[in-house]
Amino acid sequence: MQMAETIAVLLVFFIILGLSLMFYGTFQAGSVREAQKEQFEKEAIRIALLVSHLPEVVCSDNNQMTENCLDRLKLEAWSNLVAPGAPGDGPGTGGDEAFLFYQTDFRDSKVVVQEVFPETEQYIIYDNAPKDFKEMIPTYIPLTIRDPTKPPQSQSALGVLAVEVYR
Amino acid sequence: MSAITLKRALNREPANRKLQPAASPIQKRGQREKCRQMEKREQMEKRGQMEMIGIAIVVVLIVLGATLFLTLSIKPPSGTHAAFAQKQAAQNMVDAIVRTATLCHGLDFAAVLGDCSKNGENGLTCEDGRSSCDYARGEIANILDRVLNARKVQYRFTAEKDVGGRAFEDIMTPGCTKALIDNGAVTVETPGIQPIPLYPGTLTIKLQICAPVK
Repeated sequence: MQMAETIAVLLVFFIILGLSLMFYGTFQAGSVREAQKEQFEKEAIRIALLVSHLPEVVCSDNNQMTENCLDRLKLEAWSNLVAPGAPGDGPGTGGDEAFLFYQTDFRDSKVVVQEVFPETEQYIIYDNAPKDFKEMIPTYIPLTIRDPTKPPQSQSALGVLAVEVYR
Repeated sequence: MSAITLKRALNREPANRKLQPAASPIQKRGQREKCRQMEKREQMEKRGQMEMIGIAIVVVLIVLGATLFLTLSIKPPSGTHAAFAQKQAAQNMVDAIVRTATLCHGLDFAAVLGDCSKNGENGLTCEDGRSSCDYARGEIANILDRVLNARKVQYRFTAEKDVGGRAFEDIMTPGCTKALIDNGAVTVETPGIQPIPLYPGTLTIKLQICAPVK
């Protein structure tokens, strides 16, 4: 009789313990997903900021960088160097090698600079968008695209830096 | 009759003892056995009740713990990226607009907006025949439409002089009107602001990006 009672009590205890563990596990899984999403958002911000401040494409005067400004000539050179299928500029300087060099920083993302005004043009500066992905975070940063070959008054155009980060 | 009362009754010497025939030892043993069994049953019932109360307390404690855990653990979604993107879009857009060269006498938007604010409709006439105000408003509306509206972003662009009111009518989408912003129906993260000196006075251009209230 007492044995049966003890077994019943233990059974109830383990049922309660199991239910609590299940509840805790489900909740923790949700928290982990939330943390992963937050980390992914931070990664998207990091890549967007990295691209917008990249010395390789940012406008500069006497080695002084200008904020929120990309140089058109540098953009053209870059897209010939890093974009998929780019032949590169001599041995060991372009194509896959340059792409692999930037892959550690830009990971699975696509970076495009679009000129919006006065003309419309597009420069793909990095493209490693996977075919299958769970989520994509787009970031759009409006900025100036400067063409130093034009007269000073008409050098600046308005563009958008579009950074799409995938996972 | 409870077991204790029955026990007391059994142990007590009855007053009318002489009238009743004396119980045989076998009968007495039977009665005691019955009494013991009743006592045992009562004790078990009490123990059962105690156990039930114990389990109830444990369940209440678990529920309280879970509630406390949930209350402390549930955090609102971070929204880190949304806030960053909104802030960047607003400030960078106004910065980029004022620096951009226009097709109106090769001036940049800051100069065209300055002329519009100072001279109104009597100001410069651009190559396409529009006044500086019409040109600035039309081209800025076009840029905002292509950059922000194309990405379903709600916005309101204003150009206000510190003296004499607006340079031109506000450019906005239906989801980001002054009334909606003032009523708190939409939230506006840090707006993009760019002052343009007019000599005398200042023209302040402002871009607000609206998001639905969470």
